[in-house]
Amino acid sequence: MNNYSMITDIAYLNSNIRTIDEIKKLFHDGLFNDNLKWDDFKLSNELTGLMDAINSRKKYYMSKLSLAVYNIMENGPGKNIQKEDEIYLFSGFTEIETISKIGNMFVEDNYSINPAIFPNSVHHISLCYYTILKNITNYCAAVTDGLNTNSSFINFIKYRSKLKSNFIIIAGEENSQFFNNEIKNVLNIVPSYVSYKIVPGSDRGFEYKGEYPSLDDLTNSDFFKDSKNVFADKMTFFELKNKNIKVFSEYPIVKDNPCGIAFRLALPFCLELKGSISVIDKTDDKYHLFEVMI
Amino acid sequence: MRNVFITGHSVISSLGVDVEESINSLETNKDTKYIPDKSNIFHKPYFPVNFNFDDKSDMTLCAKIALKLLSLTEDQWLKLSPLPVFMATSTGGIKETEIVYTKNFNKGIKFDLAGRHYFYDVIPEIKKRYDDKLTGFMTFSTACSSAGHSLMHAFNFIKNGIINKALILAFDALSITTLYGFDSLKLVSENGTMPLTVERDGLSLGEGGAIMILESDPSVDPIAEVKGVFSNSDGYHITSPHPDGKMQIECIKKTLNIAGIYLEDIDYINAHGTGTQTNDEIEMNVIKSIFNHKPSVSSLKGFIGHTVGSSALIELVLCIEMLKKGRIYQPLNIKTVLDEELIPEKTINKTAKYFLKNSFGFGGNNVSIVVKNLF
Repeated sequence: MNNYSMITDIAYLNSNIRTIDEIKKLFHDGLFNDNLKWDDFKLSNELTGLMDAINSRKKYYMSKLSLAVYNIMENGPGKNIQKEDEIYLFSGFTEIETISKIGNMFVEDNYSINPAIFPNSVHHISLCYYTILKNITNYCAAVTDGLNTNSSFINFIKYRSKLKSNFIIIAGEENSQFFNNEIKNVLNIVPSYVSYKIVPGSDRGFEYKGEYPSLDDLTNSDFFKDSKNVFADKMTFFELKNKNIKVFSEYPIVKDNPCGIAFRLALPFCLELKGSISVIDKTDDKYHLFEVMI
Repeated sequence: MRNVFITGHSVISSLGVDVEESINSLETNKDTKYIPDKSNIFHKPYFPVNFNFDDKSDMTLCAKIALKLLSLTEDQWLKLSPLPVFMATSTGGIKETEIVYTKNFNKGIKFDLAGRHYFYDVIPEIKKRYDDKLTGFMTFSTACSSAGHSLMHAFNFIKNGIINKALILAFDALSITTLYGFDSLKLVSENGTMPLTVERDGLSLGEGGAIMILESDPSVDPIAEVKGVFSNSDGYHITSPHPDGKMQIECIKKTLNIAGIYLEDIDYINAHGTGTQTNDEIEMNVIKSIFNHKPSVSSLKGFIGHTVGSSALIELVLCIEMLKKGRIYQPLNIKTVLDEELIPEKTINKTAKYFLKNSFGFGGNNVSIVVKNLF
């Protein structure tokens, strides 16, 4: 039964990572399973050189998110994109810096908006720039749910991976001065991105196994018990560590960005880990389990 | 493949709250356009929702619209719960963030921005009221075509037997960002939008929302059936459609192909019809290039404005209801229509078994929908 979905053409991008080999080195250096290393692994708020790959004056109008999306597609699934591949951007806050700039324009320029900036405020504009620069007509959509975006990703993937057509995932956030005024959910949002192609109907890959009301229920499941490796969100990482279960987390390369599951799900594939792997996400007080067999 | 039936819906716009008030407003040609006076922060006409939501609450307007839509259709969808919810918005609750920026940022005051910015309080507010009756939220945001995407994914998942029911929920609120933003692009009408007319001079923005219940095994007599939905990209320009409209043509044709119907089966087309020079010209050229049998064509944006991310769903619900009444509404003061053979010059009596709905967003994001009416 080909119920699995394969993940291919993976790319990661942040201030410290531009290649898969860099991810592999960090993994072998213990970054993903040693939380004592996490605070020292700092990510810069600026990604340099993103315009270099773009041979068009449009690059001067593109937001940081748009530039990052272009680059990560070029380094990842964009190399092998087909006309029928749908492209989805998952981002909690998408074009937040543009919103911040517009807000400041209201205050400083008496409600005058630069017409070159306004289109950048729509949430899928980075995908539009990509299609325009690459002269392609692929289906594009952005899914954005703020702090609930992790949940949205799971909700979408568990259905979409049952359709047989391939699709591309891009996930990430741009940093913004917007977050400096946050009082309640003080988060470390960093410019960090991932992209990959998902090929449903495969004999290997990932499959969504369902949600569990408690971590004990999940860890008592047959699949979990047979897993050679476990990947989890930050909170679940510590819960499993307290149970003396060896676990990895993508947290150091994503920090508090609200779509960590998109990064986490691709890690086993990127690292070419063999055997059965559990990928867990705690969202909405439930524990979601993805089975990965590579 | 399964059928995808519409078994319930409702709508909120400047026309009113729920379908009955909305159709009454159309039938009586109620002008719901608001013309601001000089003291208003924005001077060009727009279409606000005139409904007294619970003003004591500090919820965003989008959350209030969403909860109102859910309450209007509660009797229908609660019986089907739990239900996955496919949401759509474009500008969402930016208006509340604007207030924070304009009044308080310079004073260094901090706020619950991540929780309340844009529309991010909608899901928590829905969960607070409905607990686990609604699950599986995801929100598509592709500017003006947003609701089309939500419908498309629910349609595809139901059609392919992955789920058997879904709720589509779309909403958008007016904001200074969109009012001034579209105006900065010189796309806003001076005196009120006149879509698909020679005299058109731009769009007028609106706000509101819509809700739709989809089922493959209808629990009640269905109102209509979604036959096909398709989407693609122009890959051409950030704000303007391709002058040849070639990807819009492909979008419409593929939608018809998915629906399994002939061109001649389409009796009515509800255009995206924003009232801008470029959109309306290209869209009419696209329609005329495909359909030789002269189906009726109109736009509802002259009545409710451009409700941005929620427009596809609001207009879909209104289309179903107006065709159920056997009418195609046109504004009383409509000017010279772009094509007398296709576009009615006044409100007419018309029934339509199949109709097409177009929705074209920024960046050339195209969605087309074919619906079969079952009344």
